[in-house]
Amino acid sequence: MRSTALPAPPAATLHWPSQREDAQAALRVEDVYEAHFDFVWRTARRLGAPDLQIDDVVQEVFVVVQRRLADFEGRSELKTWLFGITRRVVRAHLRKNARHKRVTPDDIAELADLTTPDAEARVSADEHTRLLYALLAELDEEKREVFVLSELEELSGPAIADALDLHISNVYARVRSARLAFDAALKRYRARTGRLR
Amino acid sequence: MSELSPEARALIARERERSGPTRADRARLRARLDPAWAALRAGQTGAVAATPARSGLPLSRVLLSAAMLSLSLLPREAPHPAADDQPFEQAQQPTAPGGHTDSALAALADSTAHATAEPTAPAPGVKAFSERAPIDGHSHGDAERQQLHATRNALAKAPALARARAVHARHASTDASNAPEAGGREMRATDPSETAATELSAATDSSKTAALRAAQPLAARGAQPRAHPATTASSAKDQSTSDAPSEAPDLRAKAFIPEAIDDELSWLGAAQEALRRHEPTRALQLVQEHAFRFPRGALAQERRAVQLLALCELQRKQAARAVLREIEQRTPSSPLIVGIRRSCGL
Repeated sequence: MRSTALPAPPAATLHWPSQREDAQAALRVEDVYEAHFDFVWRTARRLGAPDLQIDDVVQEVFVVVQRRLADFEGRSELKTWLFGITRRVVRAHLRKNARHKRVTPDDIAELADLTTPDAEARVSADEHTRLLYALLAELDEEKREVFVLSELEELSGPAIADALDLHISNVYARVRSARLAFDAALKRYRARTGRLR
Repeated sequence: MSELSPEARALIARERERSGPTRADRARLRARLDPAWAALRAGQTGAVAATPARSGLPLSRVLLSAAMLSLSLLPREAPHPAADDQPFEQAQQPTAPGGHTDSALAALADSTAHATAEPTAPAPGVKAFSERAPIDGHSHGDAERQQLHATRNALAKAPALARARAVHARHASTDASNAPEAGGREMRATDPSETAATELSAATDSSKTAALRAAQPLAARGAQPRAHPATTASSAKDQSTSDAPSEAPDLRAKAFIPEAIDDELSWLGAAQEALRRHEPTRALQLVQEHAFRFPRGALAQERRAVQLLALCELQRKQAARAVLREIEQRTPSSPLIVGIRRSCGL
């Protein structure tokens, strides 16, 4: 059999823009910030970042975003990608707080942050919101994360599965147990205070 | 799938409406992030170090960003949960407090230096203050104390801002020279809900002003924090005896001079920040300072909470129990009580 030389590679490889390049082309960290700052802030608060550390957490998230933006492959929603980063940064802060403190950050956070320029607004923050965060803080991390995504962000089951890297059936089971835990925390609170504040 | 209770749904709906950052939050973080992003793009840590003075970004935050740049602590696929235990905090330098608190603390240090050099202003050294005035204004007369307690009880359940406004308004109303502010913003301290409503309508302007003032160090505003009213009064008394003024003494000089709420926030905010930085002794000093400067301050409740947490941190349980009893007496429904009891093991 006559051996044939392998065909020479084309001079210019045909180049299809990948999903990643599409995503990169459209994304600048400033745009991500403008579009998703509220989401990151809310998520950080809901996942338990203390009021006094919220600036640190959000800043750290967007520093990470800039570093990792080139690696964002566009396979998932940007929002779920951001959620992943925010979750990691918040977890790191909470672990650090737990290691270093006798007094929990939530104790201080409950005082209302007086160190920011708009402290007056924070002092008058809605007490219901504080109560919600206090109840979320009673959930364990896994339940809190899935609860935030399903009940507060109202993401679909598949989107939650993507954000938390879970199987869809596990998502539903975890949402169910998180709802039960949240309701139980609310009942405990009502039993303690005798009222819904 | 089990459903949430209607109460829980209502709570979530309320949070959705109200939660979220303000424009000021967005602008503040953006101001911090722009230099950090620029530094990351340039890959030059040295270039960033020059930016804080102009941008207001604390140097420690810039160094944090630089550290994160130099250390590859994140997995390449950021949100992968398998790597969740990777320690982010290894990259974190011991962070300084927020920029504004930096300013407040720096201002405190400045003001201490100024006050030491300036005999007319009292040095805010804690020891000196604790000798001169016990916490929480127990040096007041009985009638005055009763009035104070009555006001506190009346305002205990109002939001802190409304309480602050109402107390300051009450103080302002005692000064005959204080005419109602323009726009009909006359305060009626006897009805905190009305005060709150009035103030909420004017919150935009006042919060802007407060934001601007809070962003400035105390020293930048007026060289030193204001002298305590008692000191002012006693110095006025000394002056009156030495100079023997021909006119009748101006009683207003001895009247309580209402402090701006943002000053009060600055002191107590610095105390909170010290607590957050695990400096309970410093927090206690600032709490005492706050108590001395604002014996009838609107944030007394918050002050006691900071004091209690600092005492817990120092394991001074007996003193902490005393403060806790006081909090329970004054605000028995405070949600702080349960959490602090648990945290401090009281």
